[in-house]
Amino acid sequence: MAVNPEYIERYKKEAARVGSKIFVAATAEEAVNYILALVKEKNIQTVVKSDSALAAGIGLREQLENNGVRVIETSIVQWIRQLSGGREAPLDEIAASISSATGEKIEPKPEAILKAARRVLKDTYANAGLGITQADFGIAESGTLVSLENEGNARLAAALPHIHLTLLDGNCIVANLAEAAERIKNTAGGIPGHKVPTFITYLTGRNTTGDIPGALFARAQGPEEEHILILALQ
Amino acid sequence: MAAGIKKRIKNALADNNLQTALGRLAVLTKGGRRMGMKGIDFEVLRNDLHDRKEKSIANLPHLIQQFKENAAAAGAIVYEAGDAREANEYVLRLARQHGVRHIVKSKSMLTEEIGLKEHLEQAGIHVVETDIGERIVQLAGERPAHIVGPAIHKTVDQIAELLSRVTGNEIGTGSQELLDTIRDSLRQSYLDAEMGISGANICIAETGTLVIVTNEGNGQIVTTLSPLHVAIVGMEKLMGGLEDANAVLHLLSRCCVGPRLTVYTSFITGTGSAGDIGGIPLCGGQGPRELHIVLVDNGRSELRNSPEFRKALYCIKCGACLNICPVFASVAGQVYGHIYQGGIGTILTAFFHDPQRAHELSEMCMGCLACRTVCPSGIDIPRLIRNLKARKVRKHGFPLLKRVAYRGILKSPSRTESAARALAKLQQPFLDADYMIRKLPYPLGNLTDTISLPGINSSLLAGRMRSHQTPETGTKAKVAFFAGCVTAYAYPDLGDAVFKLLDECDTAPYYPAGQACCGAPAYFSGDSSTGLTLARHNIESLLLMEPDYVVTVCPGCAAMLKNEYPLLTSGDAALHKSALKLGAKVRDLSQLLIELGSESAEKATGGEIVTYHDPCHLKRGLGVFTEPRKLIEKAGYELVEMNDPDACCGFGGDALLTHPELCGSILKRKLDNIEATGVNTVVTACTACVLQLRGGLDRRKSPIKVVHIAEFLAKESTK
Repeated sequence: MAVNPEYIERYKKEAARVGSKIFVAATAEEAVNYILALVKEKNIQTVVKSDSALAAGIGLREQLENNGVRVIETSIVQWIRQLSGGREAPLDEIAASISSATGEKIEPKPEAILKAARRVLKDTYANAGLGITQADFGIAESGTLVSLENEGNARLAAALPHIHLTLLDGNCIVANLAEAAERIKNTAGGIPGHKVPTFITYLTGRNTTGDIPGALFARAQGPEEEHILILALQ
Repeated sequence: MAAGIKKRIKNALADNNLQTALGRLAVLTKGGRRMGMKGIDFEVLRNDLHDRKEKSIANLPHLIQQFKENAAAAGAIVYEAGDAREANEYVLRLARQHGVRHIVKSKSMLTEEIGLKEHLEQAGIHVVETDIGERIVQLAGERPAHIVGPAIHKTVDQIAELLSRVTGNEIGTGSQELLDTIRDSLRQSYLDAEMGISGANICIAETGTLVIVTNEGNGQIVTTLSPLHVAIVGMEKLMGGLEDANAVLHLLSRCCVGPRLTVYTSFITGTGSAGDIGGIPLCGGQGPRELHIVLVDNGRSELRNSPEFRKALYCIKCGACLNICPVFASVAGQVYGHIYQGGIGTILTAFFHDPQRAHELSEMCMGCLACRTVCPSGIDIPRLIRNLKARKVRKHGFPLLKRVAYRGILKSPSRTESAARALAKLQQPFLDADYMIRKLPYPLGNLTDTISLPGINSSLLAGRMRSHQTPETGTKAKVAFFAGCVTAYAYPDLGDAVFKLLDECDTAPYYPAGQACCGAPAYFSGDSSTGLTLARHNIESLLLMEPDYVVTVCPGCAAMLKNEYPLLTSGDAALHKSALKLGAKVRDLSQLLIELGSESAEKATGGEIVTYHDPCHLKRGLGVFTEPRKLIEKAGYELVEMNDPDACCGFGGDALLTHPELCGSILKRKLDNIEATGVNTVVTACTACVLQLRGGLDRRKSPIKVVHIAEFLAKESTK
């Protein structure tokens, strides 16, 4: 996808209109600094994150950890890897690590491990100060973030933490809903039988409710703030 | 069923909290609509959506098959439920199989329709609504008051009191505190739930995908965090592909509260996966392990098979028609007594619930056409309501009073005239010196509950016009004047005004003999046969002398002649052709004066400021709203717009008899808006609006004069 500065400008305008906080970073350092400042300002202790090539590219996890922030990977495979000290571990070793982390005896079987991971992570999302996810692309006309996934962790990391920050590649912005649909149709489902990925979320602005009089644009049940960090790296 | 409809309306109108809350709704939705329509061509988008919906409903059996295949391939389990009982039992069985004790639920009107929550609760399962408004309504033990804003009828004080009672803690009335209280309690419910129940806004057949929109984020959590997700979906939600879904998404949020898209738009296709460990897949990932989709019929096939009503299935449940409905603005949704509210809800109630109840609801409609102008799917809701009334008349006949009024009197011009003469005498004891009737006895007392009525003029129009029954011979355009009943019997002076204005335009006006009631009162009450008799009669009388134009001063009549006669006569090819011919000649007076280039000389601004009320059928039925304004300004007046100039005045035809207090409440808002302008004169262009506004202002003892534009301009031209 080609860089389109017009799309970035439109995107910024529309996303701001619906209550998102936008920052465009021209360098990795700017991006990291924005997040570090946010973490400091909000006194965030724990971050949950989903798989993100952009985060890896700017060394985000290491930077956060160096600043004393606990970073928890939320895709189960990465979560296990993190528990296992960053390497591939055999099933019994994984079960043992989970058992010692949770205090429950876990059998060294994938199903038992999956169940345990679901249980642990469920509580983790809601207790995290910040959720960091990566959007697959943005939609300029509405300031929307689009994320495609099969696991469901990204949508939980986007919905449950106190604050949510999305990384968006400045090169990955489409004009409108029609182009978004085209792009989705060209994305393989990734699971047999799926023509499209299991979960596709269009996130447009900060969650709101009009149900309480006098609190028209108040935060509803999702994060208190939606940050969008566009990486337009030179 | 609790209280009857009249009692429910009365209670709602007397409920100060409700009225306060409704004021909030009006401000909210008006601003929202303005924002939502910005930068789009609504007509283009809604035609597109209408066509896609039309196609989807036509192809429904195929789409269901396709959806089932694709959803199943992606790991979902699809169950087709014929009715409410089947759907409810399926979900309960599932809950029992999985030992479910706690359920969280996002908003779904369909689950309200089938009573799913009650069904599960009776089986001892704890069900928590997670939409904040829906949760408030649940805690209060009520039903949603609005498709989109379930708790729109509650004030902050009421919510605070409710939460204090439920939690046992003193909860303050700060909006933020209320929100935090509800959010925190819901967080725990999500974690405890073993099943999440949602609806869906769209089902995409090509990919087997559910599309669910929420603004609060609860939809994301309900559909992801529990090991079981059950989506309850009406089969009319099926559409072909992503492009079809886009057509809905383009308009859903814009029409509802204004933003371009809802905050969360979630596409769910089957069940997920977290990849694998050691080559063994981690099925379900962190989302539900099982996804069940219950496709519900419950009356939808019958609706689909009813050509007169099928379009009701195009509804995307955006709530735009409720937001603009003058009846809804007076009483909110709970008055409707079942699940679906407003005009569209009346039709849905007829097919999904109880035809009798629906007939009762149909009588609340003012026929103002506002809903039709905002519907994103292009559903002509007022027409569906008329069809419902016609169905009722076909099945159950007419009540005596209407039978006498429509079939006994209005159906025949001579009997109408005799009746008017008789009434002109009978009214004497009730007539005040200024020719107004302020109190009628039983059984007509309803009519003077909220307005004063004009007396029947003893000098009927037909008599005055006896010497004007043929047009002047020559080359001038022949203009047939169709008076309509209100002009003929209450305001015959208008006839003189019309002739004067048309003479000044150098045309040859005349009053075709034998003209009858246009038939609208009977037709819109569901009496198609009287409508047809009168259509036939008027088409013949009006076309007899081959006029160039047929002009009216009542847009209700004009819309009837122009828009309805061709439909009414569709069964008779020759008559239908004549109806179309007549329709092409029909003009509202203002429209014709502008078309003829009325050259009433420019006058110096006399300084008087007037306001203008848009009659519903003139603006929305005939698309005429700039013409009267131009004429007023051309006559040298300064026009100041009132708030909502095109809101209904509450005349409401039939409703005036059945629900005068409802009409009175709609009238009150109109009169408040008129008075707020500070003018001495309000001009309008419909005889029924004149009657209603004069009658209402008289009750207020207001000095503001209501003038029909014909008289207003005619008086001006003699100065």
